[in-house]
Amino acid sequence: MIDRARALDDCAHYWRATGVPPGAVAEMRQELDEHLRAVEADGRRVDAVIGDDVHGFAESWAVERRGSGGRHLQEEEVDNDARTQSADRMRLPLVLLGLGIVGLVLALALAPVDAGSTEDNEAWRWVWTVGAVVLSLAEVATVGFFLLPFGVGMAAAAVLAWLDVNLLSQWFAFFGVSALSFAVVQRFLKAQDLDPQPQVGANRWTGAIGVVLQTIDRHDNVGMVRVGGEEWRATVDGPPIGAGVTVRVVEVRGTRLVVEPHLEIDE
Amino acid sequence: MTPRQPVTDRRSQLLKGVLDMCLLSIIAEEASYGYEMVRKLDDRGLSLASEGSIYPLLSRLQRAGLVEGYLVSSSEGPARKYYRLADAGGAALEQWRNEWQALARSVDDVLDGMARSAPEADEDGGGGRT
Repeated sequence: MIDRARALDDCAHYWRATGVPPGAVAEMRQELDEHLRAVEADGRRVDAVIGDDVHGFAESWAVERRGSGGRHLQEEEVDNDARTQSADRMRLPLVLLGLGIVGLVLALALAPVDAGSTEDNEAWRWVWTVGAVVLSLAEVATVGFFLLPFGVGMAAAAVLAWLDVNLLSQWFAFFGVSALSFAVVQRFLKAQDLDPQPQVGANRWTGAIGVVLQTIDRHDNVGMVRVGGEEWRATVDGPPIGAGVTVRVVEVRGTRLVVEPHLEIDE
Repeated sequence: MTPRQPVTDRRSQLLKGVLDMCLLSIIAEEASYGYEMVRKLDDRGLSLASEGSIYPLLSRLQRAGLVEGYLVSSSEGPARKYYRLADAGGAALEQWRNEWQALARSVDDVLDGMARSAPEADEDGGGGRT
């Protein structure tokens, strides 16, 4: 059961993401807010206004307020909202990292540490080695590249421990190498994000072949096509196209697919 | 407003087709805001499955130049968006009303015809039309 604030946020987020002009979003949000407050004052529920499909409602309204350049947002894109996604992605690694730090502190507290000596390296070799292995395995099991840098740092410290270098240097190596690999991984991820993404949402239809369900006539502002099992409103820049004709999607304009007749010569 | 009973699918489908016309008519009667229109519809026995569905229609009417939106500051809470009839709206409403009445007459005729040919109707003419 959705509450008023959540419904307003969901709708506003959807509208912004689908190209409704900011001024219109603010106005629609306020209008909806006003209505929802009145409904709440009646002791009725928010779904009396919106129904049980918030995005369906948001889209039906957005269609009327979008200029050209907006796009239809697919359900899965909305659900993969960036905020929830990153929150989910960070939770497990953070928990594991916290456990790791607690473990290290305990190990430090229990082990008699003389930072300058090499006497305890026997124990630290194993602490670092096991830590590196555990973090690497955890990295494989989780999403994102959060744990890997610390695993690399521990591996570096383990190497020093096995070489009988003193403990202080091991810790310096752990922090230094961890920080360095963290920076490298972040840069790598950022570069990945800048790579061209596969076409998503409505744009993935560009170039697709479909069939006309309802005559497309830009003067009458009508027309439907079926592409890839979905039905879309369509328009055409040329003369009307009758039902049953095979068409190719040229571009996406607003919430309509712009199509042209597809001559099936390449079959 | 009283809590409303669930609206049947069929009824809400029928209403969907004429809702924009009803809204335009309500606005023609008196400039109104969204929630007010829902209440007026409700008072006349037309309850909506989801009230929010009026807003896409109001936006469409506004884009078509049949109604105009304007903000009025209200005593409680934020400013309210009212809708009033635009010049083109009156003519459109007149035309829609005629279309609707013609359609409703034809549908009535068809339904009355079915009633006449139903088993309990005798062959003594098409008398008992109510």
